[in-house]
Amino acid sequence: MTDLSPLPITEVVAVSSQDDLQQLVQQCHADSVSMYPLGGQTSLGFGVPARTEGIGIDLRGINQVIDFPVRDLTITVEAGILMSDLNSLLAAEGLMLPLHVPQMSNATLGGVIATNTNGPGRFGYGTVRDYVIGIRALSGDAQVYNAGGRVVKNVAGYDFCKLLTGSLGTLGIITQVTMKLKPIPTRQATVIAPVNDVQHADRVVAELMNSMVRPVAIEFLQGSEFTTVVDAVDQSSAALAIVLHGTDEEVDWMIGKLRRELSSSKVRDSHNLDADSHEQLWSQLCDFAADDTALAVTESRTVSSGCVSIINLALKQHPDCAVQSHMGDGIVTMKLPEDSDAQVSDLVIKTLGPEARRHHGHVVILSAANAAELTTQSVWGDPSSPDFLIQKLREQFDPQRLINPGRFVYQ
Amino acid sequence: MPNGVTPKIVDGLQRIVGPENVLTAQSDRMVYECDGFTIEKNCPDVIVFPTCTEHVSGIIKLCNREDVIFLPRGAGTSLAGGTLAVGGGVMLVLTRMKEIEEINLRDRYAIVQPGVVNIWLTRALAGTGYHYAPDPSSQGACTIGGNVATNSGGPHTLKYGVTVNHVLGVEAVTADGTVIMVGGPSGEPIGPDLVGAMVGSEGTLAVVTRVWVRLTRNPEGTRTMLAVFESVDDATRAISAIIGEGIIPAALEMMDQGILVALEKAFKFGFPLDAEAILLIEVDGIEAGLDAQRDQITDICNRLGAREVRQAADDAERQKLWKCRKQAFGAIGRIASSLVTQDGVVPRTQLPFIFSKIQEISSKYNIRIVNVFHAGDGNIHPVFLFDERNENEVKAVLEAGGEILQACLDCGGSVTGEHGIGVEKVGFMNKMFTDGDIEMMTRLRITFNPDGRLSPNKMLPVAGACGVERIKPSRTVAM
Ligand SMILES: Cc1cc2nc3c(=O)[nH]c(=O)nc-3n(C[C@H](O)[C@H](O)[C@H](O)COP(=O)(O)OP(=O)(O)OC[C@H]3O[C@@H](n4cnc5c(N)ncnc54)[C@H](O)[C@@H]3O)c2cc1C
Repeated sequence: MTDLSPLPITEVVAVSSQDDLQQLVQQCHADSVSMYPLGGQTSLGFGVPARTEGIGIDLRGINQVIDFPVRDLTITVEAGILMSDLNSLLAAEGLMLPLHVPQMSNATLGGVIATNTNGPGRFGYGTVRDYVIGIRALSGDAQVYNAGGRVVKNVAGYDFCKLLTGSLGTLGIITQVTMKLKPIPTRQATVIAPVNDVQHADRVVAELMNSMVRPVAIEFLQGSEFTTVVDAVDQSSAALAIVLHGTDEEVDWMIGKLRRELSSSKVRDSHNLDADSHEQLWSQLCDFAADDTALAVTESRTVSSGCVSIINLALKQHPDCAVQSHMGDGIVTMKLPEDSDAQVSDLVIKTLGPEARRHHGHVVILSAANAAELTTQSVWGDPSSPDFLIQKLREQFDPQRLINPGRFVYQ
Repeated sequence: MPNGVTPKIVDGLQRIVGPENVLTAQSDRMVYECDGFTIEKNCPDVIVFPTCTEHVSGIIKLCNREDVIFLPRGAGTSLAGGTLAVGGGVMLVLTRMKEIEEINLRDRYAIVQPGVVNIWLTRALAGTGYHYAPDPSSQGACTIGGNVATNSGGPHTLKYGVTVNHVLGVEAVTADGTVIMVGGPSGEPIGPDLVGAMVGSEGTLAVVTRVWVRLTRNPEGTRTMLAVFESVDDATRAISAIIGEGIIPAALEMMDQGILVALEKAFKFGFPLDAEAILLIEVDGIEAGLDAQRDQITDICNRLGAREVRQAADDAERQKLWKCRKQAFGAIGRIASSLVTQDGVVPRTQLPFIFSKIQEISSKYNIRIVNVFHAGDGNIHPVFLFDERNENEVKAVLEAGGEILQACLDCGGSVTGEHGIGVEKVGFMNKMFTDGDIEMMTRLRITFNPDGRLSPNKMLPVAGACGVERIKPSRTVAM
C-alpha cells in the first residue's frame, strides 16, 4: 500500500472513465472540495507539504488505448496508463516513447507530463515538450478541454500540450494524450570514461559537445551506489557514462571514435560495458532520483558549463552524497544519504541556489524525508518565471484553486 | 469600442522612439496594409519601430492609457493574415531590433532580438559546426520573432523539430506593458511550460522582444536523393512506407508534375517532365550509417514502383535541388496569373487518400491544382492556379480550398501545419475544436491580454465580432 501521508487526503476515489472523472470534478467544484489527482503516486512528496484536506483521485483506471496507428508513429492513450504498460505496448511494434523516467512500473503518463519528468536520454531525444502533440484535460471547474490533435505538425489554436507540461495538475487534470513516437534503435551501448575529477569531466564534455559522436546521454557519476556496475566509480572517484544508440554500424563507429577522442582528452582506461551491464546501468541512471531511503534529493538545472561548479560545491559540502549529472544538459542530481547531517533547506537556499543562479538556473528539491523542514523558498529555489502570470492562469483554469492546493509555488 | 489614433498618441510615440521611428503618412502606411495573405487589407493608423524592449513596453503602456489597439509585425511574410491590422491601431514593427546578442557554442544557445532574419543566424554560425535548425522556405526574409509567434516549420524540421523544439526562453512584453522573462538558456523553468505555450500564439499573448534559441550540431554527412515516380499514388504510398518502416529522414518533400514543369522552366535542373511526381529525400547524421539508410530508402521506393532513384552527385547539385524546392512558388508564379496555397495536415498514412481527394476536388471545380508537400510530416500545400479576374474561378478556389481542409479534418488532421490561423482560418476553429476548447483558449488569452487590445480578431472566433468575409483570394505565393 502506497503511503499517502505527504498529502492530507481524507478518502481516495478511484475513477474508471473520463466521464466518471468529469462527474466527480463537477461535484467537487459544486461542493468546493479540494482534489489531489493521484497517478502512480511516485511524486506525492514533491512540493510543499499540503495542508488543505481533500479527496485523492486515483486516475490509474483511466488507461485505455484510444488509437494506435503504428505506421503513423503516434499513439493516443488515456493519461492513467502506466509508463511500463505503454512501453511494452510500443516495444511490441518496435517503437518507443524516449522519456526515460524513474519508476516506470508505477508512474503514469499523465503524472510524467504534469511533473515534466525527464531522464538521462534527454540529451539525444529531448523532453516531454517534444513528444506531446495532443492533449485533453479537465479544468478545476469541470470543463473538458483539448488542444493539438493527432498529427505530428499542427499550429491550430493555443498549445495546451505545452501549457499543461509541468503544470503539476494546477491547470487541470490531464485525461488523454497523443504522443509522437520513435523507432527503437537496433543497438545500444555504454562507454565508461573514468575521470580524475570534476574539472576533467567538464573538459571531456566540452570536447564531446563538438565531436561527431552523437551520444544519447552524457552522465557524470560519483558515489558508492554505482560501484556494483561501474567499478571505476565510488564515493571518491568519478566517471562519465556515455550512452550511444544507433545501428550496429553507427554504434561501432562511434565507440571507436569516442575511445580515441577520450584518450586524447587524457582519459585512461575507457571501456565499453557488456550488454547486461549496460542495461543494468541504464535502469540505475533512470531511477537514481527516486530513492525513498535518501534524506533528500535535489536537482539543479543550469547551463551545461555550470555543472562543474555545482558538483564541486555539492561534493565539498557533503562528501557523503551521491551525484548523477546529465552534464550535456546542465542537470545535477544530488542525493544525500539517510544519515546525512545536511540542513536541506539551507543547502538549497544558501549554497546551491545562488551558485545555480550564477549559471542561469535554479535548484529544486525533488524529495525530502523531513518534509516539515521545507518552505516554498527552499522547495522552489527562487523561481524566475513570472509568478503573477501563473497565478492568474490558475485563477482562470481552476477558479476555486481546488486541485493540489498549496503544494506548489503558485497556490 | 477602442479609440482611434490621435495626434496626441503620435506625439507620445515619437517621444518614446524618436520621430525617425514613427510612420504616419498614408503612402508609408500602405506598405503595411497586408502581409503574405493579400485577400484582406487594412492600413494601421500609425507604424512604430521600437529599437529596444523599453520602447516596446512604453508603446504598449501608452496604447493602454489611450485605449487604442496595437499589434506586432516582423517581416510580414505571414500567409494567414497574422499581421492584418483589423480595426487599424498602432503597429509595432520589430525589424529594427535586429542584433544577434550572443552566440554560446559551449552551452549551445544564441540570444537574438526578434527582428533578426532567420538566415542571418545561419550565416553567423557558418564555420562553427552549429546551426539553427528551423528553416522555413521564407528564411531569407522572415524574422525569428515571427517564427516564434507562428511556430514555423521548414523542410528539415521533419527530423529536427519545429520552432518550439528549439526555443529555450523568451523575453516578452505582455498586453499591459509588463516585461516578462520565461525560460532562459538552461531551458527548464519551474511550473507550466509557458515558453512552449507562447510559441505559436501568433502575437496574441505578448510581444516577443528577445529569444534564447537552441543551437544544433551540424551533421557529419548527408545523402540527398531524388526518387522519380510514374504516378503520384505510388509516390505518396512510398512516403507512408518510409515513415511506416520507422525511417525518419532529415527531409522528405514531394513535388508533382505541375511543379516540376514550372521549376524546369525557371531553373533548367533537368527534372524528368513526364514523371507524375518526385520525392526529394535527405538523410543526415554520422557517415557510418548513411549509405545503409540511403539503400533502405532506395529499396522502398523501388518496391513501390519508382522509375529511378538517384543520389545528388555532389554538394553543388544538392544545393541546386534545395534551391529549386525552396523557390518552387516563385517558379509557379511564372505559369499562372494568380495562385493561392493551402496549408493542411493529415496523418502520414493518409497521404494517398488526401492526394486522390485533391485530384477529385480539382476536377469537380475545374481548377488546376499543383502540389508541393512537406510530405514526411503529412503537411500538404496544394497550390491553386487561376485567374483572379474571373469571379467564378475565385469562388471555386475558395470552396475547393475549404473542401480540402475539411477532408484533412475528416481523416484526423489539422487545418494548418505551419502557416497559422491568423484571420484566414478563424472560421475553421469551430470545426476543429469544441466550444469548451475555445472557451479555455479564450481564458488563456484573457490571462495575458485581458482587454483584448493586443492583436484583436485573430486566431479565436470571438462571439459577436464580425468575422472577416472571404471574397477573393489573390496571389499568395507560399510555402
Ligand atoms: C514564400 C514564403 C514561404 C514560406 N515558407 C514557410 C515555411 O516553409 N514554413 C513556415 O512555417 N512558414 C512559411 N511561410 C510563412 C511565414 O514566413 C512564417 O509564418 C514566418 O514565421 C513569419 O515571420 P515574419 O517575420 O514574416 O512574421 P510576420 O508575418 O510579420 O508575423 C507573423 C505573425 O507573428 C506575429 N509577430 C511577429 N513578430 C512578433 C513578435 N516579435 N512578437 C509577437 N508576435 C509577433 C504577427 O503579429 C503575426 O501574427 C512562408 C511564407 C512565404 C511568403
